[in-house]
Amino acid sequence: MKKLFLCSAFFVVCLSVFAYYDRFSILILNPAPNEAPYLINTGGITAFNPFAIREVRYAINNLLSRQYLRENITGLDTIFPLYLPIGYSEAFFGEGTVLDDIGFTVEGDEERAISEITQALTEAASLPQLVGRLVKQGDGYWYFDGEKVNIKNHIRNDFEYRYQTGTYISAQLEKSGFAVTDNYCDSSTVVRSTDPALLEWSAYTEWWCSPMPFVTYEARLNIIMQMYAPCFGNMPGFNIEGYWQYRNELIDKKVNDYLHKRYFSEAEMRSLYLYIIKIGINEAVRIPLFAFISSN
Amino acid sequence: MKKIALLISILALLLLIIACSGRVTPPIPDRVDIETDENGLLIGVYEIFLGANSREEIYKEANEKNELVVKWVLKTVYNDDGDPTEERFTHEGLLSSIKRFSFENEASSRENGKKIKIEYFSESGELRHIEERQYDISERLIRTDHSDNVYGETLNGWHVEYYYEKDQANPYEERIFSDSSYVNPYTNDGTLEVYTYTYREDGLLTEKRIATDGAHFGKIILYEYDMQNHLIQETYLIEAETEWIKTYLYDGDILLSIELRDAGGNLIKKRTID
Repeated sequence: MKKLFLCSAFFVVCLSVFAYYDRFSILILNPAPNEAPYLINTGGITAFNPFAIREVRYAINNLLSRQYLRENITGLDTIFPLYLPIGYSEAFFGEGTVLDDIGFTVEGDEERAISEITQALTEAASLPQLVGRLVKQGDGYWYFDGEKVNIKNHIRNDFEYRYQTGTYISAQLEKSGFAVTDNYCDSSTVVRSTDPALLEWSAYTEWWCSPMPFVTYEARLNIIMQMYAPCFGNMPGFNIEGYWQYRNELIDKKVNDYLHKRYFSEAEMRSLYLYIIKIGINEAVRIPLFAFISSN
Repeated sequence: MKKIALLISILALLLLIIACSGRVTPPIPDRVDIETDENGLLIGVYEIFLGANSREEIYKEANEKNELVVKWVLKTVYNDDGDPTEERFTHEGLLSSIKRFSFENEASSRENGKKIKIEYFSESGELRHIEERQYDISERLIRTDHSDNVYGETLNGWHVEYYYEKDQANPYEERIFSDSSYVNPYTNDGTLEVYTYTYREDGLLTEKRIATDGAHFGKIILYEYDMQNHLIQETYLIEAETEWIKTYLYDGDILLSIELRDAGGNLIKKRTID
């Protein structure tokens, strides 16, 4: 946490005009079907989706080095490591507790992440439906029904920095034992307009713009809700009828309690707010990577 | 001689037992509030401890086994004038925030337009955020400035302005402005949020209106009082539709319970003051 702080601090110092960053780079993962045995029928073919395993998604936080992204992404003025899809003032809003609890660092921890991914997949491989079908072979790759477990990473190539981010993510996922297919695109159409159950996409790096600082709990929660809560309609499936939908009743309930002010005290409100953040980070359907200031 | 030694031993043992039991006996809260759900099932318990110069509120949430687990602790320390000097909020066992209050010229008063500075620290003690409250000569809060402190550099964040009618004690309007480059398309300035307040002639708040976009007052809270000026009802409206109603029940001047009900009158949850 201290390293994150110092790293953030260095880059914040570089800023002279802006007080808040206004663009966010956030990785979104396709979690369908989001339950064991993590199999999904895609047009008559049964596929295994490793991102349906929460622990695999969560480990990606450590698989990716935000420090690497900061040092190697070109074409951006200033980059800040990001763990929450909101801006500064985490001391005022008390979000530090969640970040401290997580213990992520800007460098990440590739070894630990790969170990956690391996452990999660090994446990999955012992499920009756997956025994003998999901195996890690000598070449370091995971196989399902004799085929390499494939990740479709949709990479925007209309901007150099988006391309660089996407290819870095692919390289890291490949190290984890997945065969990664880079699908280049210039929009989020596939992510937002195809049924997640078809597994047309596995990962995509979003870019969000936030033209104003979030200076109240409610304003911040609106962003948190947008990024983590299915009730907002911005999670995989995007509330499109007939599509598989990412569901999380707990976070929806807590978000609704918060938004409708169903609490008796400010302390209760603060607790609710922190709890929602914690659920969102733990679910890891979206993984914030970095923020940057942009004038275009 | 043996009898004396035995008596002394027994006495020492008794003293030891008393001392030990004194250590393990948890302090008794000054107030206990019990929160239940729509079915009357326990959600959690609030324990409030009032010290000579402190107030500590501990919320214990009932888990699936109906065991009470500490969810959060809010502790505020006051000086002899009753002004807060430090506040700590701990959430799920982790220190969430530390606020320290300081008063200009070491005077713990709000007189003469002085400022109160509130510094927010990280868990490791780093100064991360500064809030400065400025009061007018009538001790009314007129402005609050927020900035983040990052590695010794101060970044402007936002400020809040409070507006008053003549000598009214409470503000009729509160506006939050961004101090970054943001321009609100509705207001053409840095307005982020606006709250307006309406009071009875005796000064009791009757209505709070909230514009979360700085322009449209889509949320309203209405306050009602009994003959003794106790708050008896809060009604929360979103786009003119009732969202919930909080009802306060008293025995004389003592608050007994608060019920939160939806627009249809269905109980959502209840807090009972024991």
